[in-house]
Amino acid sequence: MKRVKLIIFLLFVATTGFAQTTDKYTEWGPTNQQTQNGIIIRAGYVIGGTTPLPLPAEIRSINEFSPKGGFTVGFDAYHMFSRHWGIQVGWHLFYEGFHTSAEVKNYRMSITQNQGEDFLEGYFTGTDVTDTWMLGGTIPLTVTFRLSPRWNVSAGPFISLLFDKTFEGEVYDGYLRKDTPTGQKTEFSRESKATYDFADDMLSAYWGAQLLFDWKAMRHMNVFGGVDWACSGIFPKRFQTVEFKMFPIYAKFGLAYRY
Amino acid sequence: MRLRFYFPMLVLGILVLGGCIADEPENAECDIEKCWVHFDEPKALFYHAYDTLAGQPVSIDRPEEKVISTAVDSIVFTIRWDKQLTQPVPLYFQVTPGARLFQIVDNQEKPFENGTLVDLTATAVGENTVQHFVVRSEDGKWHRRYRVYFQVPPMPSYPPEGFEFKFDDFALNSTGKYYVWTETNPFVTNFEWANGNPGFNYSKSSAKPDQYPTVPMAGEGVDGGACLKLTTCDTGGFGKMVNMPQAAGNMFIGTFDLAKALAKDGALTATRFGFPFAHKPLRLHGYYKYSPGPQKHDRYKNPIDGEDICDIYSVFYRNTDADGNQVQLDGTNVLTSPLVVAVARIKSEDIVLNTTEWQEFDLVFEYRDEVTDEFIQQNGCSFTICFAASIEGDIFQGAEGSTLWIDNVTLECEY
Repeated sequence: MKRVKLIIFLLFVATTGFAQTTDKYTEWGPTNQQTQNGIIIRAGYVIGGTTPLPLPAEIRSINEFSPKGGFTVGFDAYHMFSRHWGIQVGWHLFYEGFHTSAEVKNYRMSITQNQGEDFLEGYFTGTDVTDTWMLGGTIPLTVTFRLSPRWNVSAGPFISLLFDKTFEGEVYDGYLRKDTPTGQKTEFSRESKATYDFADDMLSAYWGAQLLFDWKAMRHMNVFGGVDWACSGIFPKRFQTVEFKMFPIYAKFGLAYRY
Repeated sequence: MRLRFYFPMLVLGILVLGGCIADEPENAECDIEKCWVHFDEPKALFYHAYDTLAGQPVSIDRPEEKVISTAVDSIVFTIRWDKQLTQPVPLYFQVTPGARLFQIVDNQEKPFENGTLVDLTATAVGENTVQHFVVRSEDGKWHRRYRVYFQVPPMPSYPPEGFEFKFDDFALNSTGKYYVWTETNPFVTNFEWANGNPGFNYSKSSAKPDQYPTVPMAGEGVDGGACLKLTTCDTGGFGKMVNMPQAAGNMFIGTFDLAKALAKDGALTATRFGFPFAHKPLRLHGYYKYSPGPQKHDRYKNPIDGEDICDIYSVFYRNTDADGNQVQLDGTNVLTSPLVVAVARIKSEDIVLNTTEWQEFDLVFEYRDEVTDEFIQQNGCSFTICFAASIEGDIFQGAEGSTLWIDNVTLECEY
């Protein structure tokens, strides 16, 4: 959370101390010539998670949540067709993830080993810990609406490509009912955690919608914030182990430099 | 003012991930967790007061509490061999929270209220009234059926040739995955042979019945019948994950509690040894063949020095603690508990290795404690025999491939 506070503080400084430039629609770019077209270099902080939506009833409580990694760098190229409207396309590299520990009840799970030949499945009640991170790039194609001389909002679809990823976890402090909730009970202790790793089952691309606000703080500097909301799950349909569709949903905010 | 835009995004993230916990789903489980009957003077009918509670002690730490294993669907109360139950008894259950219990009467499900008098008449061996119950889960999607009955055991009697165990009665379990054995010796009615096969099934579901650690070998016994073959096997990726990378083939009198197979003490508390036994054991005799596997490993699969060795032992112990609670020794204390009365165990140095010929073992019970004949005849002691292909198999140490063959075991008693 310290990092979040620091960033909010920086944003505050940026929004109060340096808002000195003249407010004109035509002067979005650093020079008059660059009003219609330009490039924005972005660097920011990412926070969020990969989650089923809405949270299924099997998840009883979240004990712990901490973001992992969490940065994005990239650029957007924009073109304004008119005073208010334009388009923007970009390439944003990101590294994002999280660690969470949740209490689950009657949570359907399965563990496969030996290329799927050995499997154990059933309903787990207890603690489930998940760690995931993704390294990838997002290509957003958005429509930009210039709200005011200082405010830009852009929205549109994006596609994310993953270069590397993990999705692993463990279950313990609970019990599994084998196959069905009436099956034999087996206790899982902290000493004999069952672990899982679904990284290889993850898709290497997903798509969604991006919403992004830009605020012109200085002549070259923007403050931005927005959300990348995935509309496709990170696991393929045939992957039955995780019963719910899992969507990466990450908010991001940071500073941008305009050319 | 500008910050307004950023806070909602942070809040959104937190809300999405933590804020919208749905209402708790109704329970899907539907077990009879506990079952008991009430008698003002239980010892007039039972050997021990705790026999009015069905099931097994939860653990060594909580000996006073008994639960019904999720593996069973028959709840049995055993009375003294020379007594009869002729009156209806008040019957009590504890089921999964939210689940509903029904008694099946004339094919109709009738809601059951604790303390209802139930006809569980038991007048002689095999002469008893079985009552049927069904538990329906809170969410209404699942149910389990149970049978509840009293049983009168046969009069204890000692056959002059001793108690013989030949391991000839085996069959595949209900799912057809692995073998189970039944003891058909008419003199030992309450013995069950158990082994770690259910645990192995958990870790290596792809294994064929004859790839399990404990398998029968038809036609290969001393007498031309079947014998036991116990092998230390690799448990596959799942076993490795929970630091139980190998399972020693084993066979013992008692129960294998799958619920504890992955619990804190490892499988030590899953092997529950022994049943009440009203005879005084003197000698254990039988036949074996043993060949150790090539390389010993510890539970983290690190190679360790030394040759693997098998284990054969038999224990006679007091089955009630100082507080009057039921005791069933497990892998943590079967040889070390102060309640142990007598032990017969093979000496490692006496074991003949790598032979194709059957070898004899003849073990004398060494008594550590004095117990009266009357105490034994009142079911004051329990008895177990255990065979294991790796002596340290209980802590998942041993050599993969170690094989112990066992056949024609005879237990000689004083009476």
